[in-house]
Amino acid sequence: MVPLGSGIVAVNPKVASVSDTISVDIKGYNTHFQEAGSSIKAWLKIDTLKLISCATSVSVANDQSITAKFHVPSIKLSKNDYLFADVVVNDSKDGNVMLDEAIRITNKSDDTLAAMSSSAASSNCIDDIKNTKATYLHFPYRSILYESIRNLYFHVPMWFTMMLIITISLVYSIKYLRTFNLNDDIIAVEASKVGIFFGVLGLITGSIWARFTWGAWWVNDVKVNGAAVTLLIYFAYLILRNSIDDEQKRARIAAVYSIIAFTMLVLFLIIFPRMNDSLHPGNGGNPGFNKYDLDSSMRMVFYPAVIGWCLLGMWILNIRIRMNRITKYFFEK
Amino acid sequence: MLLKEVKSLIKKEVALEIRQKYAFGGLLLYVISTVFICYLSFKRVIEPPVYVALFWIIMLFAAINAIAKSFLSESRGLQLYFYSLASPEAVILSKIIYNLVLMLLLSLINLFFYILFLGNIIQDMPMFLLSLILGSFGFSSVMSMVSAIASKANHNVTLMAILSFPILIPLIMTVIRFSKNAIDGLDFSVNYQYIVMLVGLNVIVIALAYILFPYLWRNE
Repeated sequence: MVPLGSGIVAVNPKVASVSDTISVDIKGYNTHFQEAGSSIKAWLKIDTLKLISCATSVSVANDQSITAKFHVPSIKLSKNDYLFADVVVNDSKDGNVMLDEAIRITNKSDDTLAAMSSSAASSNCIDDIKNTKATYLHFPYRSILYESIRNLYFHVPMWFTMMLIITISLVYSIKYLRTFNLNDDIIAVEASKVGIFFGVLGLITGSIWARFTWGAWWVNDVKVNGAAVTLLIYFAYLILRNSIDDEQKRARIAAVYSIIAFTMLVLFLIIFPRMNDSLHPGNGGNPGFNKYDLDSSMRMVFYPAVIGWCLLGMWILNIRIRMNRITKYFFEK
Repeated sequence: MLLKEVKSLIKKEVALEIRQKYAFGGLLLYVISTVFICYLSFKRVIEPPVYVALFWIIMLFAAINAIAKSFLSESRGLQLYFYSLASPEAVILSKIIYNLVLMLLLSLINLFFYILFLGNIIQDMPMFLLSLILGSFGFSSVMSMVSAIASKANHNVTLMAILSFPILIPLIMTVIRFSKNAIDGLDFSVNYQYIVMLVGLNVIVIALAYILFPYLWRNE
């Protein structure tokens, strides 16, 4: 199995004062500190000031933990103010691993210290770094997501497939109203059934993902609720079909409702999420998923996965249509 | 031509309604008794979110009762007779307009008794009335169409609820937010997006009804 990339899970202590010398325990995830040995470098990074402070010494405990001594730079900071410093570790095997806003820098004394004149003075440790990326194939390491990032290959393609197959259902519903050919009705109803199936799978995979990232099986999110209501509408479509006996009449009325249902689907899954804030990536100020996949290693699997799931959906649809036709053929005989 | 047909069809609806007074009387009694139950269970002025949610839930069920019968009550023979006289577009448009008037009347009566029993906490009355108009419009257009569909399927009122509730959800959510803002007296600029959304929803549903109704209507 392709492992998750390396990352820093936690540092201790989390608070430091300016001009202090601190000894920081750094806990890594999937890191190879022992293997990398003496090539390990660590530094504090303060983005707002473009400041870098290198570790004076690094000692390796095991693959997942190191202790680094830092000198917190003397920066201009009033008494109740604070700044965040990122902790970055680099070694020959894992490349750069980093924890954002790991250490809060405060000022204990009353006097505001003079800002450091230049950041170059203490950044000499990053001059000779060759590789900043891990040397092995891996998933991006993201806090909150962690290993569940693999779910991207299941959850998102489910909705792609659902949209594709429900669109087929719409096309054949319209086609039926133009031709009144019962063959089109068979395709429309089977497509909506397979579409519902993939929609339910999308809800289930999403629910599991939500439990591990947002903390609950069901969250009050505009996309989640919209998807649920869309499925309700399509269930209503199936119930409507079952309540009419005459074939031609059933096909005609179901086709009309199917067109209304698709309009609602577009409203719920495409228009409403763009009008309201959502917890999903790419909505409500959240970064899109492409921001997580910096080296495109996930795209390599994601695009084929989308195509694969769509083809699988089409294959199921194909089998169901043929089954339906055969049943009808024997029934009429 | 279409206008003339719509006009005479609405006249027919009104004449029927006046002749069958019990139907409207039943709706009236439904609204009044539901509001009275709300009053008995709260017995005080209630919070705006509950106030507005209860109001629209009463409206929702009144709408189901009122509009379900618009197609369900007509026999197949009668529908065939209309089919030979008027175009399907005229039939659905007349139903939507007539149901809109009916819903508006019901919502005003509902509002009157609501204020009488539960108190008036509405700060921006014109805005609230606008939400009533847009909400009634949405109810009448969605329900008229769904009633037409349900009437073809074994004349089933349960089916009517199953088919229309999911479709009504976006409408109800929007109209509840809109009328709650009216109760809180928020500025027009906050409500602007809700008005646009409600008008958009109504336009979409009426366009769909106009295009799709002929397919429900024909070869019965």
